[in-house]
Amino acid sequence: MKFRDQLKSVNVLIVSFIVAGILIGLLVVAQFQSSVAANSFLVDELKAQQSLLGSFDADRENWKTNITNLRQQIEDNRKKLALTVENSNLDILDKLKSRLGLNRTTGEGIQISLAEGDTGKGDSDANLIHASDLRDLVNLIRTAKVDGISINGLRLLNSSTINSLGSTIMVNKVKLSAPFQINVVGDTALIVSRLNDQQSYPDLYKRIKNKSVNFQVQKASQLVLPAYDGDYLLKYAQ
Amino acid sequence: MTINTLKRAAFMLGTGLLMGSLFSFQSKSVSQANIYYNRESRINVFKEIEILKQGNQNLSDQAAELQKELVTSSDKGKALDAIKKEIDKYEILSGQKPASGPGVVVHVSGELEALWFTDMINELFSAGAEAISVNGMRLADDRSGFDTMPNGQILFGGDILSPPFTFEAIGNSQALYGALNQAGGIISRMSLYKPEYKIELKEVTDLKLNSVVVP
Repeated sequence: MKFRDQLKSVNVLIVSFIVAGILIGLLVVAQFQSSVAANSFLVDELKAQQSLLGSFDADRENWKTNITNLRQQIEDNRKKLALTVENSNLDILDKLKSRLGLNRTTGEGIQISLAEGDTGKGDSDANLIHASDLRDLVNLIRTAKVDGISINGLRLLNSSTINSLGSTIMVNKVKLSAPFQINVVGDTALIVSRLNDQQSYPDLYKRIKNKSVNFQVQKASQLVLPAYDGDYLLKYAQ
Repeated sequence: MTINTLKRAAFMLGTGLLMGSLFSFQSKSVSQANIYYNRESRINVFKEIEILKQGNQNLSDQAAELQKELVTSSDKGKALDAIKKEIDKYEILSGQKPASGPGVVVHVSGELEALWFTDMINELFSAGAEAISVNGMRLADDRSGFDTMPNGQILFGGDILSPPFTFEAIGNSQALYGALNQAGGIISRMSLYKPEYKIELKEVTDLKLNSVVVP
């Protein structure tokens, strides 16, 4: 009797395991089947998002080309006007535009190269260049009262923004990726002395020192910074 | 104490040490990541689309404005008038003229390092600010770098700024307020790092910002 009871309980246990195994098997199969559809949806959504973002990039480039052409045509008309009018105020306008970064700037300066380290080694986050690193560097450079700054060929204004966007960085609402080339026109000795102030950018300086990121500075006798080619609107300030 | 008990104790000690080390490494890497991560606003793909869309809209508005200027630039009288208006605009943008309009005011009660000024100014311009002052000092083309001084003060274009700090920005007040006050935005990040500070943000209908050199 006792043996029969033991056999019964063992059978119940075996049956329970078999049922549980079947259920888990069914769930695993269902999961695998459903995951195909879910992945496809996500991939499609991601493709649609990337396509939309790509179209924004293309539109932006078109607008910028259009704006550059319009500015050039206005400039040409004004040059003709200056020949016929004694006091056209064009020189005042030109000086203001140069101060603001709306004209091309040339002169002696500094070229800074900032590249990400090997992200496969050590603390990969420390090897990345963050938007805040660029902001700190630009802020530091601005304390040297420079004539102009550009990052990867994009001219910075006083109101330029540098933000993080996933793995890329947006400068003037344009997506940029490392390596970064920062060109600065101004007093080279003053800029270099400011760059040597490690307290002004402690996080980045630490990573430069331990070679997590690559940082190089070199003087250039003649740098050319392009004019700012984006929008410059006043909608609220009077 | 039997050998088995000793083995078990050694095994538990080893496991404990291993887990402790792993926790420690994990916590260190997470806190390191936070230093960088916390200086950025959380931007997802929808925000990215919104930013790029707004950026393109601004470019479109700029092109429309330039198109009008191009038409007037061929007419002598209108062209001279347009040049004067453009000079006015650039003098406001460069900080050479006072500026007025709607916007926001942020008061921070205590000391801040230069990075907070850089990030605050960046957030304000990202949200569409057109003119900004800090403690009444106008941000201008030749005055925009902040430097932390050893005594906790801030050097800004030759002027020394001391706490409390007041940021004033002209622009779309609702957009500026929303951007600064969003979850994970600069106000919440500042509150996280400076919990003892009183940080106030308010919308203002008519702000007046001085020019760089007060006339």
